[in-house]
Amino acid sequence: MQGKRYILLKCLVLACLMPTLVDCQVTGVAARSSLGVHGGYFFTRGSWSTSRVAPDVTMFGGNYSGDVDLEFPVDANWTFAFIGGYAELDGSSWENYSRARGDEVRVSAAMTHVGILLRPHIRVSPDDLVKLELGVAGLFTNGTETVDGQVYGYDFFKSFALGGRGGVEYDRVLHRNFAVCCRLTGMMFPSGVKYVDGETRTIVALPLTVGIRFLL
Amino acid sequence: MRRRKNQGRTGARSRRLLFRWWAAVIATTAVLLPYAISFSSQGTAFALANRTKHYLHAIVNAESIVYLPPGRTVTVDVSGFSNVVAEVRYSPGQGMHGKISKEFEATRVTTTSERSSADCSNRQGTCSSSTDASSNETVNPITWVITPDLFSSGQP
Repeated sequence: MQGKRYILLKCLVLACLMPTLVDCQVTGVAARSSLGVHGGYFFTRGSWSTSRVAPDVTMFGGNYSGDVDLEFPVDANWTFAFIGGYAELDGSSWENYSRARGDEVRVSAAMTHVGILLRPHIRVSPDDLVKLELGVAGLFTNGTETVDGQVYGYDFFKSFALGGRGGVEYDRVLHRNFAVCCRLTGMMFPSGVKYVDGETRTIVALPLTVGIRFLL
Repeated sequence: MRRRKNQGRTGARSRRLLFRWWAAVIATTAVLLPYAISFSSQGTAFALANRTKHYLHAIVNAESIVYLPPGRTVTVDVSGFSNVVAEVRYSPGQGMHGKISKEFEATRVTTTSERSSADCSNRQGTCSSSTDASSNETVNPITWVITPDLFSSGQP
């Protein structure tokens, strides 16, 4: 798994450098409607992702993810976006820890996130666009833990959590209708996890993605 | 020429207004939504008390409870069930193994109350009395206290 993450990070870095290697046509694109399709890695951070039994062990680690967004211009330098994404969480660390202590555990958990965002544009050059994004996000989380063949639902995941999202995206326009992009985002959902004894924890996730943007 | 200029100004103004309207909607939704949605449940309760030194997993009538901390009690709504079936085990990763299960019969208790009143306002100066009776049916709350000896003895 460590080797795969290293390869993915190398791909992400290369994807961001790719525009400098491509001889492209200058198009000078203003704020336009667009459809973005992204893939990447979904990092998890915070105490919500660790085990209550062993706080040093990650129970819900990061994994590959994908998202789609639709943008509409509201001003010359602002767009309004709807975004939806999906990521499965990696429970291998917790599974290995439990197995070493005599328990056969299988973790299955996933997150679906949606958002409504405002994106101010910072244009560096006619073909290079940096966008900030800020908005409201919703999170649907579910999962189960199978212990020695018995399935338990993760009752501490709220079926729906409301939070916020912020990030930055870089677009390199390669054609009048086509751009490549990379984006780093942070999402936070207060009390996204609530245990049976009332303790709550904030879900923090950091999707890092690259993708294609179709300019409509 | 002047007409085109005016049309351009009107279009830019409309976009600004639209942008400000959406920003206001998003901000209002983000602030009010957590207070607009609330869920409540009431009914018969089954209480599971963890009196061990380890975390517990449990299933109560097909409802999962995971990582119940030592010393804590969780209450589950079991309304509509005539029996409660509970299965408890040590949570994984603690080096502790053991599983116990128990079935509880929900006991119904009927409570009847009577209220009598007298009305002495008639012309004859006599009093008439009336009695109102009401009854409530409740189910005794069920509590299962989990102790380490239950796992070792194998008898819940």
